[in-house]
Amino acid sequence: MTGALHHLSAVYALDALDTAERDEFEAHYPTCEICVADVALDREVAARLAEAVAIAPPEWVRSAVLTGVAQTRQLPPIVRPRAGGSPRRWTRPGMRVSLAAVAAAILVVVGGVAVAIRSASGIDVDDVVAAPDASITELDGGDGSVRVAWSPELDHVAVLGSDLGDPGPGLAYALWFVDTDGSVAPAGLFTPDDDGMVRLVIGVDDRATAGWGVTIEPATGSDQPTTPIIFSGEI
Amino acid sequence: MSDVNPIRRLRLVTSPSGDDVGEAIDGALTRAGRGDEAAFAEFYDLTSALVYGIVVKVVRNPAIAEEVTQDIYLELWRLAPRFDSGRGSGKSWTCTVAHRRAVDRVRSEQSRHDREVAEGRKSEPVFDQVSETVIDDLDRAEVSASLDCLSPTQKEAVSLAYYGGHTYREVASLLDVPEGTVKTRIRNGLIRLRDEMGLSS
Repeated sequence: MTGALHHLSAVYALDALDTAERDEFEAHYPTCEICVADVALDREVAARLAEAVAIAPPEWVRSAVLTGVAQTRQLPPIVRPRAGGSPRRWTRPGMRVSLAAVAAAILVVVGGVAVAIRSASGIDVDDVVAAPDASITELDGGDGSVRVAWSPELDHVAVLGSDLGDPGPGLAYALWFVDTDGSVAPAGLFTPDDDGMVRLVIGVDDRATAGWGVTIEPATGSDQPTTPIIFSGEI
Repeated sequence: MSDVNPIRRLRLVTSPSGDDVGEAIDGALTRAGRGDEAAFAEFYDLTSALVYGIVVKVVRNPAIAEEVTQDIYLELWRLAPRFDSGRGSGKSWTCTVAHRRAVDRVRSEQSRHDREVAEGRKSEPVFDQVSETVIDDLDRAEVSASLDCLSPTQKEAVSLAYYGGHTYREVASLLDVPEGTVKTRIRNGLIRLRDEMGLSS
């Protein structure tokens, strides 16, 4: 999202954009997890403003509403994974999912551009970022930026990167769990697109961790880092 | 890391503790989303003052407010299966739908009025709509109290936008200030209000 659009969340949340600008904002803001959160917070503020002017409607409106409701069909729900509590229902049309297995990320590399990033279980980046138990860690390090969002309840990690250089032929960036005792375990691999961007969600093992590390590894993956850590951060 | 704050802070809102009414609304709405009409009646009882209040403020005309309120509740019923309590409170979801509907109604009425004036089928109203709008919006004590933490210019901008249902361009025109200034006042006003509500660091 451009910088200018970022700052419109408050104006948007108060419904103070005109139609064309509202359409433009709505086309872009769902792709920006910070804007999604900003808008949600601003809407909570707006609800407080509404509370200040609350007035009960005439009694007859209630029966008119309930009569109308009895004659009105509801929209079908959008099926989303439910965080916590079993059994989870993870369904997408035409997709069979093993509930016992940890879903692996489907990374489709098309002509040098890393695309897609919806895990086999149907969880996308926004689901992870907005999960109630999500931690979001900005990693410090080399050229470019990497942010890791992690929802233990969803057993998924979202990796958001920008301005990342090409790791090299046959190589990829590798994300590692780094625990308090310094032990390191593989979380997943990612490769930036031609603009240096990464937007990826990965199914991960159910585990605790203290932080993240990123190294460059062979694209087939490694069990342990074979090169120095270039990005790292504590949760 | 200021950029991750809104996401972390959102968790405070989506897991309310001690907000009994908020929890009751979320519960009734979630059940209503499964087709439970009795639960929707509960939801109506918990939220109707909230909805009607903001509709009356924006729409002004009581007859239209009653009609728009009914439309809003039918829409809330239709959309209830899509309410996700993990993404925001039921209260704010309800107010978002209500305010948007009210604003859309006012703007379509305004467009129709403007067309009729342009076509010579209606004359402009006699009273000064501009100053009436400003006075009306800022007068109520309750409104003043909730916006007390804002500077006078922020209060004015937020009030005209939210309670007046105006676009920021209209607010700029009403106040005779640049559009960018209005956007900034609204943005800063909301940041300040978030602080007051304990929703920022």
